[in-house]
Amino acid sequence: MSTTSIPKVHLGVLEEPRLLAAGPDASWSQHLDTFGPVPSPAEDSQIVEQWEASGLSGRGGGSFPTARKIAAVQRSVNRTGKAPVLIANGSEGEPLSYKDQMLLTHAPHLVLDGMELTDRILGASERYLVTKAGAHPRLLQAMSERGETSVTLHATDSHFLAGQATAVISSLEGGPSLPRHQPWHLSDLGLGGAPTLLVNVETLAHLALIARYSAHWFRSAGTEEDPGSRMVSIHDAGHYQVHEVHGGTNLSVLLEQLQIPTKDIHAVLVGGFHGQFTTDLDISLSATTDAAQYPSTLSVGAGVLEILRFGTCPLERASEIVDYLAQSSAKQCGPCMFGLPTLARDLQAVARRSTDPQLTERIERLTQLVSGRGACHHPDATARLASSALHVFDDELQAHLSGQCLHKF
Amino acid sequence: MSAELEIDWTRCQGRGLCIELLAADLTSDPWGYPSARRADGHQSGTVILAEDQREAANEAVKMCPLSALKLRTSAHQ
Repeated sequence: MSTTSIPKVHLGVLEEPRLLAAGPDASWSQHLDTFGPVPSPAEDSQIVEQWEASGLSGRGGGSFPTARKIAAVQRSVNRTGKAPVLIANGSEGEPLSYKDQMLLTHAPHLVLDGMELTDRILGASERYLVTKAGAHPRLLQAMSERGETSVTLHATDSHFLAGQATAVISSLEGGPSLPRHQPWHLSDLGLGGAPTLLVNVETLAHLALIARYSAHWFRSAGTEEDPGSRMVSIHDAGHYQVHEVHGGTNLSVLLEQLQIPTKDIHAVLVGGFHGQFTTDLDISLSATTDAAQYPSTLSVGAGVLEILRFGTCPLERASEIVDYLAQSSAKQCGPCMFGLPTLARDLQAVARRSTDPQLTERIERLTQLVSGRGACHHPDATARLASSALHVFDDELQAHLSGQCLHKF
Repeated sequence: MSAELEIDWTRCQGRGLCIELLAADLTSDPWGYPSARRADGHQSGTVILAEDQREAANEAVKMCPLSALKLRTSAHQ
């Protein structure tokens, strides 16, 4: 599959919607009119090839190459002879994210198509679709329209960590929806010890489209580093909107298109509460997390953007978020349970313009102390957000440490 | 052949036996939880053990009252 011939001119919102092409609240017949039926089982081996060539990465936040995840489950099945389990994850614990909810409301059939195809290719013994309970009536309706009876709907909690992979597994096994210590891969030992494929619902919808239209088609949106499109949830002054955008899109181009004037924007939180701040809007939003190789790129995670306009103190906002994250700790792992509230308290002191000269050093030390010391990445990501705030808003920080604020007088 | 001490953070309650047994590799964080000593002074969650610490590490795994430790050996690296 040649990809070099595609020029990188695609930016911002998709010219023509892909995932939402069948229109709002798409019924089964509207879905079939727009996309046609899923390809027949005879094409399964080509479908797997197309998935691999597409370069699709997971849209739930982790951005792991989806084809590799599927191949790992297949290898594990071949090795152990155990029937695999398929879990479609639409839990969306991130409070600023609405895209999965949007997708499940308007394009549930595309998600179910993705499940049907991965299920067929893997030969899964069990299939679960995990979402908040509010999405179930619509999904039940969609499943009955298409005569789908093999998918089990599972209601997840709505707290921040409920969508984390091991928390979903725990919840499906009848335990609390909290992350677990999991030193092995889900592809080897997942739900009930079975090889498990756990993928985000948007990822499944993309798989359904690639199976129909090819990897080449998928790559005709986005960039070579971040092919295809993704849904993003954009928050601006209490309002949110969801759009399907090109992979690797430039942030300022996207904002201008959405008529959010960049001159009014001080900073943007990219990647949601587990993301990072940037004041440089001339960056590309990508799946990649390799800052060294792509310096003007920020990982967009599950596609969440929060706009910080002038007049809002970014340190106050960062403090609120870290406070929320500290409260969201599952309180299972000591360094997270004790470290995050301490971090939140110190960041709040910064936000309140405490002139304690040791504050920043203490915060830096705490961020290092909690990182890598939990069953999930919650402490690491919270620490990263806190240090991102201190580095990106250094001018504000210096002002606060001398009792001033550059944004509030 | 290197060995790594794997800590199940959901089990660990900071009793500190491992910190005493592996004083060269582990230190206590401000809340009493084990933390790896690293050359650069930072602390980290992953404890890579020197060969002469294997016996003490085995002891720590056995002694941990919460069964929060596991010894993982890997042939490569």
